[in-house]
Formats: sequence, C-alpha cells, structure tokens
Amino acid sequence: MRVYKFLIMTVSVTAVALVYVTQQTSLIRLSYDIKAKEQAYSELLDRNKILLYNVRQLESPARLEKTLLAKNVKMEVPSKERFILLSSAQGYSAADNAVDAGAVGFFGRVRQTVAGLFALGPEAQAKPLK
Amino acid sequence: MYTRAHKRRLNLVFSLFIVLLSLLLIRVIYIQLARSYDYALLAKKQHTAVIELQPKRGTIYDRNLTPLAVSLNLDSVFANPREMKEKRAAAKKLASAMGLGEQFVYDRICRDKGFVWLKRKLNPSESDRVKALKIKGVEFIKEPKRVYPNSSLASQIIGYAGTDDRGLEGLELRYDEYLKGSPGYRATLRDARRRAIASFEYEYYPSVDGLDLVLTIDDVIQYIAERELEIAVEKYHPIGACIIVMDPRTGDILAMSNRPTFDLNSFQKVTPEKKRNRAVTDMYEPGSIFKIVTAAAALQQEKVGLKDRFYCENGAWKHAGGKVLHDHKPHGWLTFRQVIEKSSNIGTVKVAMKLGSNNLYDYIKKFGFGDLTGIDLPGEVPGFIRPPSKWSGTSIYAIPMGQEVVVSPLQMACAMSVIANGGKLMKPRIIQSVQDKHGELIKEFPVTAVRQVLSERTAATMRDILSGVVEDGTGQLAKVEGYDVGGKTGTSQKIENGTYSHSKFIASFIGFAPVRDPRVVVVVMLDQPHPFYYGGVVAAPVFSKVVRDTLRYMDIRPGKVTQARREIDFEEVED
Repeated sequence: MRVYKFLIMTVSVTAVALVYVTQQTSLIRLSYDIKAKEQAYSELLDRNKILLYNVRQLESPARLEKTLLAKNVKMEVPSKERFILLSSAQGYSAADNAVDAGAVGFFGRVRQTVAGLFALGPEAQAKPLK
Repeated sequence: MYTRAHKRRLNLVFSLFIVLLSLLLIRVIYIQLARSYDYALLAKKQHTAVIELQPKRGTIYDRNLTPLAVSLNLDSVFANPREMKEKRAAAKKLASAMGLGEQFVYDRICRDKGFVWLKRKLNPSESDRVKALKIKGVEFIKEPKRVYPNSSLASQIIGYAGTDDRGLEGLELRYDEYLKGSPGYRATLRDARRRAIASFEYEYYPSVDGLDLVLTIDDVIQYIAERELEIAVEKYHPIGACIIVMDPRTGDILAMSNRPTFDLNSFQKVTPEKKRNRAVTDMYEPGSIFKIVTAAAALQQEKVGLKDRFYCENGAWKHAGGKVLHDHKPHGWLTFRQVIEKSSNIGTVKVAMKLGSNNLYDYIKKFGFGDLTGIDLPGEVPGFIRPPSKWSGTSIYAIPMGQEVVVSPLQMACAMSVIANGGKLMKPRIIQSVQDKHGELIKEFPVTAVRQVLSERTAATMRDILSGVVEDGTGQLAKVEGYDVGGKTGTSQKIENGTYSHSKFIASFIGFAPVRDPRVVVVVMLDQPHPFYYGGVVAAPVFSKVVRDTLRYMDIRPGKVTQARREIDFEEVED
C-alpha cells in the first residue's frame, strides 16, 4: 500500500513537473517567436519609412524640375477650372436608345413589355461613351 | 582484523575529511553570508538584460506637412574577423556590395579583433546586397540617421543633427528638447546565448518619441526662392545673398534662402560661413530701401502731402553738415511721390528734416529696428540705431536714406509688411506648431501683432507710392506680368577702412504683391555683386521672378489695376 502511494505521489509530482517544464519551454519558444516577429515588424516599419523618404526625395521640386528640364518638358501651373468635353448628343439614334434600354431581340422586347405592365421604365443601363 | 595502524589511518582520513568538510562549510557559509550579495548581483547581471529603447527623433515638416527632416533607422555593418573564413574572397564581395575599396575591407577583416566596423549607416540597397552575401561573421546593427530629403533646401533654417541624433544647428538645435524625445528601457531575463526572453520581462519603461515641428515654410516657395537666388549668384557672383518671402498678414516666413549654402546630408565638411543664416544674423546699412520708413513716418505725421514739392538741387546739395549730398541722377523739383519713385537722396533728406529727428527716430523704433524681431531662429541680431541725443551733425542727412543705421534683412521684411498689411508690425513666425506622432496639437505658436505703426490710410498711400516705384521709378525691372507690385530699390555702399567704399555695394530690393491685397513681401539682398551692383538692376529682377512663380503657385489670380504707363526706362532703374 505504501509502495502504491509512493508511486502515485512520484507519478503525480513528475507529471506536474513535466507540465511546468513544458509550459516554461513553450513560453520561451513563444518569446523567441514574438521577438522575431517584433524584429520583422520593426524592419518593415523602417523599410516603409525609407521608401517614403525615397518618394519624398523623388518628388522634391528641385529634382522634378531638373528632370523635366533635362527632358525638355515644359509645364504650366494648372488653373482651378478644368473643362471636360462631354460627348455630343447629336446623332444619338433611336436604335441606340433601344440598345441602351436592352429592348433588342425577342426576349428583350418581352422583358420591356413585362416591365411596362408594372409601370416600370426601361432598365437603367450605363451608356457607352461614344 | 583491524590493527592499530589501520585505526589510526582511518581516523586520519576521517579527520582529514572532517577538516575538508569543515573548510567547505566555512567557505559555503562565507559565500552565503558574506559574499551572497555580490554573487547574486553577478548572477543577475548574467541572467538579465536591460535593453535601452531609443526614441525616434521628431520630424520637421513644412506648412503643408511635407517632411523636411526625418530620422531613419539604417543598417550599420560590422564583422567578427575571428569567425570569418576565406577573407580575400569575402573582402572582394563585401567591397563590391558596399562601394568600398577591396584592400580597405581586407585590412579590416584581417585584424585580430572580435569586432570591427565595416561601414556605418548603409543605404538600403547596399544593406540588401550585403545581407544577400550571407557571409559568416558579418553582422548588422540598426543606427538612427537624420536625413533631409531636399538636401540644401532651407538648410540654414532647419540646421542639422549630429551622429548621436542631437541637434547641432538651426531649428534642430533650438527645438532639440521637443524633437529628441526621451529614451526608455526594457529589463528582461536572457538565455545562455544572451538573447532576451520577452515573456520573462519584468520591467518596461517605454521610450517617448520626439515631437514633430510644423514650420511656416512652404517647400515649393522655398524652392522658387532658392532657384532664383542660385541663378542670381551665378550671374552676379556676390559673396553672400538672401531672399525672404513673408506673408505680411500673419508674419509667416514662407521662404528664407541664403547663399552660400550647403547640403544638410553632408554637413560635416561645411565651413561656418555657409552655415550662417544671413537673413537674421547679418547686419548691413540698408540704403535706399530704408526710405520707406522715412516716407511712411512723414505721411503718418502729416508733415508732407503727396503733392508737396521738394527741390532736389539738380543732384548735388551742400547741406548744413558741410558735406555734399548727391543723387544718382540730377533732379529739379519733384513731388513727394516722385522723390520716392526716383529715390532721390536729397528729396528724402528734406522730407526727414520736415519730420524732425525725434519723430524719425520714434518711427524707426516703431518699425522694429534696433530690437530683435523675436523670430524662433538662433543667432538673430537686433541691428543698431543711435538715439537722437547721440546723433552727429550729419546724421539727419544720412539716416533717412539708410546710412548710420544697421538692420537685418528680416527686419526690413517686417517693416515692409507694416506697409503691406495695413500698418501692423507682425512678429515673424517660422514655426506654426508642435505636434505628436498622431497629429495632436501639443503647442501652437500664434500669429502675433506687435503694434499698430501706421494708419490703414497711410499704409495704403505708401503702397500706392511704392507701386509707382515699380511702374515708373527705379524698380521697373521688378514688374510682374499680370500683377501689380510695389517695392523699393536700394544700393548701399559698404564701409571699408572707415569710409564708404566706391567698389563694394549691397544691392537690394524689397517689395510686395499684389498691391491691392498684398499676400507676399519679398526681400532680395546681394552682398557685393559684380559687374552690376544697382539694386534696381541686380535684385529687382530676382524679386520679379520669385513673385511671379509664388503668386501662381498660391493660385492668386492675375489682376492688374494700374496700366503699364511706359516701357522700362533703363536709366531710371540705376539705384
């Protein structure tokens, strides 16, 4: 009985000790992983900062003007207003409208009729830019 | 069985062991009680690591948050020569990757040491190349480096930080307390290979990164000023030059450029001469540009009217001081407006005599001369003006036209701002704010009006007169197509061996634009230009180009009110 108790005790203590040691080693392994990740993160931040610095250097007015002058590119300061020419509405035929409304072909006309029953307009379609 | 001899021997051995054990016990007790503290300390030292956490130095931004000075963590590469093999081949590869001499690298890695620097603060591409070599015994360490993306842009303002990341010049020095941050530390256990174990960290005191400075400088306007100054320096070879661009409404310095200049990224080899911010540290006799003070004071005191006429003695006047005062060109009767437009010395002195020496002195002081402007830049000088009680008999003939008074270019910019902004003397501002990494405002530097010097009406009249200087007078080369500008030329003689030199001059132009609602005041000063030396010839065209590009950049629409009265009169601009 005594031996039995002794064995149980020994096994229990050993098990507890093993669990403890495993936890500690896992903890240390995780620490190394964390450190490696922290280092990688820090490296990436540093690299990012260096790249941003390079961008700033490349965008600096002195460099830009030097490059543009070397390539003989003459630039103007843009004004506040910008004019965008829209496509002309002239020559936009009824056929084009039908195409836009998706009413082409048998199924297209059926779809248009069904839509009309429910007092719906033609389906909205993005108009292709001419 | 056991003889007495055996027993004696056994007792001897036993006693020996007892003695040894006793000695051991005494030693253990000694270690445990007397030396325990020292050994515990030694063990702690071996098991723990205290890692210093370096703060990141704050960034210096321009007014649009474009970085002007940033700190980067760069790789420095070192070698442990004792671990390295095939040194000749390694030296060849390393030298090629880092752009160093092969023999230099070879000599270093052949030293009988455990640590030798190969190259510090490598650029990223060099660092990548060395890492790719994977040479045993070659290691990296991160070191901070202060870098300046625009090289020499605003170099005298920004200043620089040394290898230890501490400010040494300019704003880097003046605001080092804000920029440097404070270091922290992390105390943790370490393993047999001296690696820190993060999970056994027992003390952590985080570092506080430095704060960021936001300047009033605009990097594009600064570039425009630098570019035009460089062109002028190449053309007229002055020994020094500067341009200040100021917003007269707020006192904000938009650009401050100096020549000679230097590259902030390689400041170590630069002479002190190039590091000087001449716009605030240099004093000079302003010459004719100072006539704006005399004229404004006389108008404000209602001692003169625009149509009052002054006889300018046909260019030479022997005054009561006993000396002969000259104009650069003979004039007869001139109105007050014409006196300023033509920059007549004789006329200006006669205006000053109507004003009186005390009044003149009061206004010189009110305009801020003889006092520090209070700008947040190191090395500012107050200039010098004697009180009337110490004036000589000829002072009233000299001071009104900018002699016997010494000023800094910045003081002149502030004085012109008084006229440009409706009469208020503004404290010049170079820093807008201090903020943290997240953009939170920590400290604001407010716009400060020092005093009202002139009435709105006087200021407006002066602006009108000064636009006439550019349209019809000595400043015609300062004209800017599409905009009304006003200003004043100046050509002052330098003092050489106690007398005014006839070969060394300071050419300057000070002006503002647009006339109706001035948005910029620009001072251009060139010290000893040659072969030409008139402010109207040398400095005015620089002003014109700086203002043209600055106004376009600021999106200020062209709008000319005054019509061009005539073509540029090249004889007129010589002053």
